[in-house]
Amino acid sequence: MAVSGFLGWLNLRNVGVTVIFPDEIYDGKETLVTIRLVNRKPLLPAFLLRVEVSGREALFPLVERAGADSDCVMLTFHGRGAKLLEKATVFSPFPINFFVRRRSVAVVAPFTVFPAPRECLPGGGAGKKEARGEDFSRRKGFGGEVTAIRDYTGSDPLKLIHWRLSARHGELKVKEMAAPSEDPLVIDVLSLPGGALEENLSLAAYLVNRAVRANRPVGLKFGARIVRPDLTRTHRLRLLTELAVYGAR
Amino acid sequence: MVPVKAVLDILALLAALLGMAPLFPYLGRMPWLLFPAAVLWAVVASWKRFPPLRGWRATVLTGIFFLYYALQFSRDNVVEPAANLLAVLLSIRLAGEKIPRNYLQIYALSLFALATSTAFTLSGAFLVYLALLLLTIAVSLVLLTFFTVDSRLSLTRRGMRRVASVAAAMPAASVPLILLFFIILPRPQFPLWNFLSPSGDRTTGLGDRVEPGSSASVAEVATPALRARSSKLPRENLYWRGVVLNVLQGNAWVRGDVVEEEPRPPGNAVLVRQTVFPEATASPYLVALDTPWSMNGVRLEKSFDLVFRKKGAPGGRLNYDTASSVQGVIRTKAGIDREFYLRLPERLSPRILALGKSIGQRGGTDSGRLSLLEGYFHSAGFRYAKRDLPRSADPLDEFLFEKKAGNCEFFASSFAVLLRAAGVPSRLVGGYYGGEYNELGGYYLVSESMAHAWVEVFLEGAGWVRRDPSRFAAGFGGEGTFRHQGLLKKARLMVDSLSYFWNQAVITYDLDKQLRLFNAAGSAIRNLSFPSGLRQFMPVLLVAVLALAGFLFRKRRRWDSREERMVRNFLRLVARRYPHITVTPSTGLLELAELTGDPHVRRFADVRYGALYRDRKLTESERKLLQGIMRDVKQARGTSRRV
Repeated sequence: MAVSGFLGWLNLRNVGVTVIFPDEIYDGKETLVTIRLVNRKPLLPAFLLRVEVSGREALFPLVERAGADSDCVMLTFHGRGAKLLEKATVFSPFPINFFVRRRSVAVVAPFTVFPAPRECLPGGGAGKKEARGEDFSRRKGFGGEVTAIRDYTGSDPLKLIHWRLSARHGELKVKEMAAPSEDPLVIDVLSLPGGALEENLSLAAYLVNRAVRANRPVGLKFGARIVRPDLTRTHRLRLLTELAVYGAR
Repeated sequence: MVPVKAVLDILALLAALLGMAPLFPYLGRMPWLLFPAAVLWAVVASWKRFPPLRGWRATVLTGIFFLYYALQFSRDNVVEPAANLLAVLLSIRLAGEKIPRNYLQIYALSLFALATSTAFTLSGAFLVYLALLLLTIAVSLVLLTFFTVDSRLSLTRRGMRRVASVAAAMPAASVPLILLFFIILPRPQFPLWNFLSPSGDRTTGLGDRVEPGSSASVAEVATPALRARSSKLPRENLYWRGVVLNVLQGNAWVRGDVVEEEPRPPGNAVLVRQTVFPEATASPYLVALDTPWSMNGVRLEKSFDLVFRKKGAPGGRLNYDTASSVQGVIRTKAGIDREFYLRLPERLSPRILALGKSIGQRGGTDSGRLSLLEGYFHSAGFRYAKRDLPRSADPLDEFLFEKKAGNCEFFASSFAVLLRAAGVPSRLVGGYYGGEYNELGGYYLVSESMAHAWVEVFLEGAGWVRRDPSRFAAGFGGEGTFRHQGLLKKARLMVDSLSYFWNQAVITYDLDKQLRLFNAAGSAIRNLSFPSGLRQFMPVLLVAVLALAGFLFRKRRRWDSREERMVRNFLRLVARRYPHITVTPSTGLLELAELTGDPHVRRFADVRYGALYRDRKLTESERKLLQGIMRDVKQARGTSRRV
């Protein structure tokens, strides 16, 4: 009994836990989180460790000495905001299933839970495309109006060759066309139709994601503070973070 | 990948086999058949994935067998039904479904089976079985833990080896503890489990009847009869006295009432001191080197013909110290009852009677008659034999005048009869002759095959004198030794010394030895002596050791990290400040900040995690900041209390 107790104690010593969160975590939605267990014991493997993080467990049957292993668990977080996972519980019935020995391990993994997106119709209300006007971006594309005619460079797609002009000039001419685009969108979070603040944040999160997917630069407006519109992925995450931590400081 | 379940199944089988192996020869017929069948079934079933015996069927079977054996229980018959029941239960479990609880039952039943085997036989081999079984169970228990967590778990071969080796290290590591507990745990004066050992379990051993001609051959039984710790002695002195047979009834020598004839102690003759460890036997006679004068360590009865009889029930483990003189002579204080020692049976072969009479007439004195008889045995061409012994109605006659071949019983018996017929008082002594000296253990091993009988002749002026007529036979030279020679003999002796140490150190370890050990340890500590120079330095040394210990302790405290201590203190402060919130050492700082809504706590958490998250220590200014926060919290607490 004494020996097994000692072995159980030894088994839980010198283990470290790191938790790797995905980039996007939404309030109340299941997310796959990676738990990495590091066995820092120089001589002994770590046996049959279970790691509990926020109520879910990952099982590590055997981690070699001075080795590491990873496992994934589905986690759901509630409440938006910047959060910190401070500790995980490591426990094990090893060596003999008489007692379960447990120990909490400092993890210190910060993560942000974004507001859960809630569907809403895009800004400008329901209306026909014509009514809202149409715009083209400054980037080149295929779907828009012809913006210029220039000489064929050899790398242009054949469908862009302007056959009529080419015939007239005696050399190949190609059309340059604009990509269809929509107006940069700035969402005034506080005036969204959700009512309560949390509702508005959820609507805004949905709108941000939808706008970026639709290739539309998007920004945010909280009262007087404005985050300028842009279209990159990092920008989108920044916007979602703004929504997540709004009002926290 | 190796499935944990497969390994568990194999180990469960192994455990069952190890537990049952020593018990198996003592089982009744049903478990004797059932157990191998169950083992076979278990192997085939796990190979071919047969559905196991499960649920109510196993329960009903268990119940039936339990009833069957429970009816056989009685006060005198405890062990056998228990052993059979254990075997049957183990068989059912082996054939049955394998869930964690059933595995545990298999281990427990195997251990019980092994423990039960000690009621039938106690040998050093038990230790080997026990060690192997404990090892198997330790590894199994660890694997079972894996199995309980996830029954479909598989490990790599390498991983499995790791698990097994660490698990096997467990019993190895517990050996020192086991030894410690064995030595210090209190031990009762009397064996607790004696009632479990059937009293007549061993029929071999010294009988109180010698009847030549009762069987055609003598079995060669090599089981040990006794071991005696002793210095090495000349071979001709190795007579181990057991019982004296003084009455001849027909062909049989038996022990009659001993006629009072107090022996005279050997005076200043050198005594050989030995400690005798007899094997468990049904015989009440305590064997010792001839001629034993005193015996200590066991409750006994000593008769005047120096036969020592154990008081109380026979059997059980014991040992005793003896002191013997080796001249082979017992002097008496007064004379003896000559008539008693000359008595002959009514029916005696006329040829024997005639031979005795003639020797009596020709001899003149008793010693003259003895030499004549010895001359007769020497010259008549007797041969020592253990097979094809005389078995006619008058076996002694047949032995002396026709076959001229027999074992010690014939020699001793006829020698004593002829002496009595010649008018010389004589009696038979039963015991052992010979022994193999074990240099390793420093003891003699005497086996049952060395059982022997010889004659004591009473000579006026000298006393009872030992005479061994078998010595006159051709072919007696090899008696009293082991048949095997060379390597085999060495191996045998080696194994036997293990058995000897086991007996000595474990089986006969009792309260007395325990107390002696404690006394010895106590006096060793009291008399601990240091060189005189060291004694002066002792205080200095002591101070140095204490200082080092203190330094290490402080250092360890520092390793515990000032920051962690700070956090602990802070948590305690907050807990006092907000008594309605339960704060445990595992409460996170941010969690606490949220719970209390206290900006102090929030600031503290930010600073602390700011450092921790960047994996660096707190800077001096940060530490000061935290201390400031703690002061603030303390003051806030003070004000709130005043309000």
